[in-house]
Amino acid sequence: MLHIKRFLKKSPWVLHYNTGSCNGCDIEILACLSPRYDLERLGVLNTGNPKQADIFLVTGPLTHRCHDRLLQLYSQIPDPKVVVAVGSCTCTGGVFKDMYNVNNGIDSLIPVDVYVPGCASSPELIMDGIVKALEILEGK
Amino acid sequence: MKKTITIPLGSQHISLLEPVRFNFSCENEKITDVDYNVGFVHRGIEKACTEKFEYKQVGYVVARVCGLCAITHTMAYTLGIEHILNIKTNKKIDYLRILMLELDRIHSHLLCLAHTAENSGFEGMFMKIMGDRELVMDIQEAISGNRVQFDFVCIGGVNRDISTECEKLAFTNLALLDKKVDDLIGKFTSNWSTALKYKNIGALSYDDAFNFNALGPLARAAGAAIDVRAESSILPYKEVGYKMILGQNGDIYDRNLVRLKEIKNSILMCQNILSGLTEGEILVKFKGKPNGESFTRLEAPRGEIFYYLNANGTNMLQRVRIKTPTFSQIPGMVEIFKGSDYADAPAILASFDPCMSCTAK
Amino acid sequence: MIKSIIESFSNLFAKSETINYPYEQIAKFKNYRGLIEYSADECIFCYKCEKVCPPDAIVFKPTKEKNRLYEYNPNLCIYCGECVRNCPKEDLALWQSEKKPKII
Ligand code: SF4
Ligand code: SF4
Ligand code: SF4
Repeated sequence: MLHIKRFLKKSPWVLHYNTGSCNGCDIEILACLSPRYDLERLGVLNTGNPKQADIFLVTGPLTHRCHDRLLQLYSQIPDPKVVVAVGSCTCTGGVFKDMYNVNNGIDSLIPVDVYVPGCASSPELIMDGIVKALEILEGK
Repeated sequence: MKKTITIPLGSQHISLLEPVRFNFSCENEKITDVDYNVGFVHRGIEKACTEKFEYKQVGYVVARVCGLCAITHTMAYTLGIEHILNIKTNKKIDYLRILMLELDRIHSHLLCLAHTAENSGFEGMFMKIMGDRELVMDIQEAISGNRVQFDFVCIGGVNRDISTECEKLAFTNLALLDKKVDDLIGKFTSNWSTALKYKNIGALSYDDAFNFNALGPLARAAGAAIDVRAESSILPYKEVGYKMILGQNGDIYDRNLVRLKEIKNSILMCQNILSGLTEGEILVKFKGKPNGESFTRLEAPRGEIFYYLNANGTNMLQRVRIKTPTFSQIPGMVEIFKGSDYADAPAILASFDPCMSCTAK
Repeated sequence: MIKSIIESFSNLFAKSETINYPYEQIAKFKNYRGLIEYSADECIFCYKCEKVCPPDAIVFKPTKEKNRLYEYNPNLCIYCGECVRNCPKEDLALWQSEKKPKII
């Protein structure tokens, strides 16, 4: 319990969830983990368990069926947590704005700390977003 | 006594890119039944295409059905509308379109192979393939200006011409990739953890491929010669050196090999196109509003994609129907899962390369 | 076996593929599709860009004066470039820059 906060910012683990995106931003997140961009040198590790995660990467415009799952995942991540919305459609709805089964962006449901625009956001932008999320995590 | 346990996989899981839920009923280690739920990402694109967007905008919207085969969706839609509007494109446009389609196929197949390697527990291979994949992504970004969503095709032609620098970059990168794929073929045929372990696992027989309506690499790995590129003449595939690639057993090993060989064939096609490209117009002017219907088939990285369009002479379309390859592969997928070990489930799933945002739209 | 040993040794001395991004810039290709930029002086207010934009990222707000006010939402834009291609004064009134959008 001594310096948990100090170590936290050195190795943030990310959880990734897709709420109805087109996969474009998801494969760019995967490309971020590839040798060219290699997020792991910032200590970032992709995890499948919400209880271990610090940064929540969400893609997609939030379809109605993903509604409950997103809320569940969000509430299972321990504090402090940072939510990063990756892609235009996650920030505002993008092209899917006002379609009948979507909620126009995830900020209608959970608080978002970092908005990463772009369709699809390039790995460069996603990395910028995660670096920004680290700064926010430090302050929390 | 045999006890049946139900194990859920999804909707959020580290080996899944997209939300899809499987319920495996298992007896000991064997899977006896599978229940699947694919509708998590339904957004209502078909409806919106007829109500919210004009026919010139729909091309950009259907690209966002799926990020992996974005160009195929736009392409199929564009070919359909061009058929209704009676637009004749010239050779150069056709070649540029095939070039982008094939580049997209290369990157999609490489992603699938990387995923299979990762799910078989071979992290180093995943990194290596993802590293090689950046070569194609660079070409795509240089040509179209974006890494994933190209927005390259528009009604009547293409949006950008290829500059000489792009051509040079493409040649060097493709030659480099060709060597790396040769290397990968060696690894996928002789390495235990990516190849030999998966012989006879997740096999789909030749008859089942027809019975369960398999498409794309899944059917070709089983030896069934199903490929729209060979059947239809809507794009001049034969002129650029297309070759059908068939497997024999339809297991994971064969599927990987079919994908690798298709990548080699695609690289060859791209090189042929790039060396034979001529000067010419990249956009054909057109007038009028669409009136009529059309059916379009095109080969996406995962199989046949089908578009039905109906227009009545206004700016809005009457009906847009999209049928995607993964949708017809699900029955075959369920059949393969039955009787295989639970431990192999993620690898079998990855070797199918399912695309849920295509299926649910 | 021998082949793989040779390969792993040669990889040890190969140049690293990783770009050390936040500290080192990534070289962008020419014609990267970045932010849409606008100049009110050149615009003739034909509102074509507003009409063709699929997600309505460009909106002209009515004001008290004669000309409307251009508003652009980079978080809504899908960077398709359709507005630029339809603008009658392409490159002067509306153009696609190579800047990347800001993160907030
Ligand atoms: S922002 Fe664009 S590319 Fe990214 S998931 Fe949404 S629609 Fe796909
Ligand atoms: S690039 Fe496309 S989405 Fe963005 S403002 Fe222009 S037309 Fe709209
Ligand atoms: S299309 Fe060009 S000229 Fe017309 S309103 Fe838009 S920016 Fe102005």
